Amino acid sequence: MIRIQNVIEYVEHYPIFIQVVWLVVIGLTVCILISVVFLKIMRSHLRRKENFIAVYQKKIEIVLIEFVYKQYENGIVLEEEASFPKAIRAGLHNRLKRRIILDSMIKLKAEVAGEMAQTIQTMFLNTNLFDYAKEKLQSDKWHIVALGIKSFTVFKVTTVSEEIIKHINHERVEVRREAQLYFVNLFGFKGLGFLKTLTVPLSEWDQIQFLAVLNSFNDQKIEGVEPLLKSLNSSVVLFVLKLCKVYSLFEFKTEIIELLFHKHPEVRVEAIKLVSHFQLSEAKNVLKEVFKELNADGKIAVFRMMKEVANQEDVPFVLANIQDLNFHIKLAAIEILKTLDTEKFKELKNSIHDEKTKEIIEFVAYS
Amino acid sequence: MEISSTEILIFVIHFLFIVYTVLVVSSYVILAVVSAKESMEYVKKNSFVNYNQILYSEVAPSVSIIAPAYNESLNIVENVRSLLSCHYVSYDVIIVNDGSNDDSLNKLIKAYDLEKVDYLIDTQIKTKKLRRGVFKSANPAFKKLMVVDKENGGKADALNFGLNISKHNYVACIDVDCLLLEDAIQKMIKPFLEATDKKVIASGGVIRVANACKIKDGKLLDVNFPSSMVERAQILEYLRSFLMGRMAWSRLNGLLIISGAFGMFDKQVMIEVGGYNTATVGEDMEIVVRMRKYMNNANVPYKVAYIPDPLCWTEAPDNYKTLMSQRNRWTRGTIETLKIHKEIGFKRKYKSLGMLSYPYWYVFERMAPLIELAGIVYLVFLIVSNRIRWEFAIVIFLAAYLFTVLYSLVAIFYEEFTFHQYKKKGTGIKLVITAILEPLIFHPFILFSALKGNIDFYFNKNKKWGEMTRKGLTKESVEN
Amino acid sequence: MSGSKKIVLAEDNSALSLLLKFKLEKEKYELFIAEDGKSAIALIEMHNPDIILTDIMMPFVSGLELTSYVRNSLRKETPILIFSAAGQEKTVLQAFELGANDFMCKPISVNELLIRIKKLLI
Repeated sequence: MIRIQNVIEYVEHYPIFIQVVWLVVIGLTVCILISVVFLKIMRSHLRRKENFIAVYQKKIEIVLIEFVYKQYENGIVLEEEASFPKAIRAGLHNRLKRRIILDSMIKLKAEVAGEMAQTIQTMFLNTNLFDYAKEKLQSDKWHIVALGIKSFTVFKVTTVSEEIIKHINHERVEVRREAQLYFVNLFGFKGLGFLKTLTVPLSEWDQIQFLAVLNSFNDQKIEGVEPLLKSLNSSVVLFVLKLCKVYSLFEFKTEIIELLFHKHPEVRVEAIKLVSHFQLSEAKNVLKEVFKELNADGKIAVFRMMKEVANQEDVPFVLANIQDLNFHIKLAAIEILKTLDTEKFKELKNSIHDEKTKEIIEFVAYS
Repeated sequence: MEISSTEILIFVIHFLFIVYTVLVVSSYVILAVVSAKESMEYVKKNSFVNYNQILYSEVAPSVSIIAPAYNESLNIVENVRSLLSCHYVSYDVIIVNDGSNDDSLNKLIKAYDLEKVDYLIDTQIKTKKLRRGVFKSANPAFKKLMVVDKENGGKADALNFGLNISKHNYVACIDVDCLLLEDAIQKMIKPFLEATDKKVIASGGVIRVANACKIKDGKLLDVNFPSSMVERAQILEYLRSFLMGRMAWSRLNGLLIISGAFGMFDKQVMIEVGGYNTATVGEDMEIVVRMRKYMNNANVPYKVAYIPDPLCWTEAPDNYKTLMSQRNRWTRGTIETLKIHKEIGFKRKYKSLGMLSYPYWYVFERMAPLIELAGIVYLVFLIVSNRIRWEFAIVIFLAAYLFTVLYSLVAIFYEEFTFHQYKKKGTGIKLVITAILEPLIFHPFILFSALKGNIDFYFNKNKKWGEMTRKGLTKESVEN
Repeated sequence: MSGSKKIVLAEDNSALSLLLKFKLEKEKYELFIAEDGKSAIALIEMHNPDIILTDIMMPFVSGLELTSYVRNSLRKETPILIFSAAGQEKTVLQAFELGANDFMCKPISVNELLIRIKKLLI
């Protein structure tokens, strides 16, 4: 006791600065001790949780698959929840187990088609999985809303579309994306309606997602595309150009050629690439005229197209650009010249002195 | 009352130290808070992202993985195999054998059925020339692989060669002995594709320490915590720096460095700025600063993204000698980069790059070892001249030490909340012990090598890349 | 037991492999499952199966490399059926170039798979 009293008296004689810093030291020590204890608790908890998840996941997967398989063999699809395996029904009341069950169902649904998928679908619709997903749509937290929308997308539930359309203009891009994906997944091309009124740019990521989803709608008639080519939103136009390429939509060639004059440089370049892909030789002369105004990407795209559709009358144009500083243009021009006019090509070989151009000519000559 | 000039001097010194300490502490706290928010948001965002579509889409952009190699014969075949098994639809792997004088190339030729091919290269950046040439595989299963054998020019030169020869718009520059997880490319390319209002010029990844981990045939099987203090302390350092530091800087769009071991870039911008600088040892930091400056000058809104997932595992130095050589090089790289680009400091026109990142890096990274040295010298002076007031010194030292330990503990927490890579029982305690011992045992070596780096920078122009003796990534596995 | 045909399945989705295991074993096939290309190769070398089913995207050794290995290194003519995800036409073509015999797009119909297996075993 005396010692502590001595210490306190001793310390009180010190300047404020030291007293304050000692308090800080004590505060830090306490924080550290609490953190260490908390860390240990947290780690054991996480470890137990992960072990549990691993074990439960294996178990429930087997239960699920046995059930799905049995249904499949018997050729019926039981609808009532009471007919689902006991283990699954019991698990649905626990949040963590429910999540694992849902994940297993999603995992399996992605791999199998037909009646087996139907069984899984019914299980989703007729259990509280459906209700909980619906509840998620009302959540304040954006990532919960997105998760909810996603489950409905995977299980292709059409009955909640009224709910989901409310989120199509959500403030967070991730939620908007999930809502858009919902409509595209369920309705294919018909689900692209939101593109008509989209004011924000559509990112490459989104475009890739949509294209991949649309890929699975093999039989659908492709409609509603034409007005989108005239959209004021250039990212929408870019997306439609991709559609035109993937689905060989030749019928829009006039509109596509018009896009060669679009104000957005990227649209012009993509239009050129598409015109080249479609081998629309009628666009060739248009392109030769506007060539000088194009940026490097545009010019390269034009020459790539020339490689497919050039003929004798294009030789002067090719020769005019053979000394272009850009490597790709030079290469393409030289390659075209070689196929079109071997005489002029030989002439060129002998007359050129620039190192880089010479190297390309040599390479092309011997390839 | 006479106040002697020494007393004024002492007062000023104390004042400066206090200001510096307050700045350091508050910046650490701010960075910790900002990175917490960013990490939480990232984890939420990723809880439902579907990477499947990008995996298979033929519209997804192609990526070139460029990996320079110098005398990597020990593991090159295995490392290349791991690079070839990334889950991404369209990418190629360009191994640049930078004038190795071992049998790396022959091993590769044999393992992958390589044949020499004639290749026309658009040399947009000047590099050393080809040696044995360009090789591709005769086996369609290895269509993605290209091996370039060129004259030795250093890592930056080799990377530039890769930039020249790549035909794609995006490049991932990596160290050849880095273990890339299968979903690395998908995750790293996402920021480039998601951006609408800003152009993403680069995305950086987290480097995880592979020492003691079970790696077999180029696949990460098990994560273990190494046993030596050197390795353990580095893990802690990386956790602090990657999870708390860079995460925050990314949110503030002030990230100045992308690890040379793993980063993805917009190739066009890289070429426009002239590629990597072959005259510096800090080429990874220097090119990012240069790219940022370029975008600022062009007035184009841009972003340097950052992916915190553990996607890249690499071998860290396992002895003090190699460690100090590495840190010496890092110090010189930082000094060089900051010096080359000193014009951007405190210039309004460079926005967060000039007003925030550059000053921060200059004061808290580049000057920090010198300030620490000044502190030590001052302390010694006080002791020697008998002016030392132990009651001050002890309590200040304790406060600083405990703050450092607490900061490390917070970093450990971040790891647990986010990626939780060290699951095994007992590792928690080992991490805590490392946090407690690190400032006392490990930090002095770091300080020493940083100081030596400063000396070498100013007085010893001959130093370049030290050599790290290859131990190979399979330290733990003996299962053959 | 000597009459039953052996199948090696290389698939990293545990749910699918379990399901296929049920179905295929019911049809009296002997099934060996591998989760990645490397272990699949080991199984093929050990058991010499009558047919190989493989996913294209797998850890470590892809379905393509597996196909190439079986045709070129092991020099076996074992029928190989590839599972691919929709839109992977380029990779599927590569697989055929390397010697694969058939492919199926995911999600797969198990009935169709059985029919194709029977056809390939003739």
